[in-house]
Amino acid sequence: MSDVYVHIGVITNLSTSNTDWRYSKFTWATTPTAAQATSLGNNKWQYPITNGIRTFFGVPAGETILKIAMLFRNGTGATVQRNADGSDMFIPVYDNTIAARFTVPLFQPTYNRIPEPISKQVGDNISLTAIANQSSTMKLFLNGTEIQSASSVTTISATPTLTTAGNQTIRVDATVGATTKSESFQFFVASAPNVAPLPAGVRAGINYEPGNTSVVLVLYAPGKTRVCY
Amino acid sequence: MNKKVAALVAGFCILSMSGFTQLLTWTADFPKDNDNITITLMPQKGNQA
Repeated sequence: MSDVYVHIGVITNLSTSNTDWRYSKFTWATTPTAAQATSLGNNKWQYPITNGIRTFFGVPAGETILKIAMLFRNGTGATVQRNADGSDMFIPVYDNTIAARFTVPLFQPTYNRIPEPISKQVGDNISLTAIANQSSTMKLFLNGTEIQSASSVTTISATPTLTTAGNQTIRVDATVGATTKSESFQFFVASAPNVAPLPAGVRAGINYEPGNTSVVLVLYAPGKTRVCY
Repeated sequence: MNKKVAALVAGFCILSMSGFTQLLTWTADFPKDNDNITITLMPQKGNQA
């Protein structure tokens, strides 16, 4: 299969909104070779931007490129790969100042980056890794409490245990001189489930109670941590 | 009643861990406006078109 093409442009300081693409390279539903992605196998696709981002899109000097905006589509444009929420995909474009971002957990390429869904309960650990674009003092925080710190690094990691239920905030700071840049994300931690023996006389499946007006459901779900209905 | 129970059971969903893939990755890690960049798409994530 080779029918995968990019639709690609940039968000700049002159864009009027998050969806105001500028300098889009290709016309929708056309199949120019220059827009074609390369298959890496296993349904994995790659597209290179060469000659520098500014030159590739033809953005004049003085206009600040903030994001690359993109979609992947088939030749007709009938099938389009977007974010899970239906939004366009974005890649941040940085300047020479300090910058930091998380690489673990995995993030979605939304305009404002958000992590892939995180399912945790009290007592679980969460793996964290953040990187910076230059040697800096990096710190990780869980709900405002510092959990890891390192000087003169470009990577920092930690695996804190989640001890409280509810909304959690993770933040990384990277500092060079008087300049600090941060990235943060939030996720929810569920209470640990109560583990109790089955009531006497029930077995996996539907257990009808006397009178046929109520049932006890017993789900067999090996390897799962919770069910919902 | 059996139909109601069947509907209830059908409504149950069992959550499982999602795979360790990311919809979009790129190099360099912090691209600047004069950098080249290679973008990789793994469509198992996102809207899975």
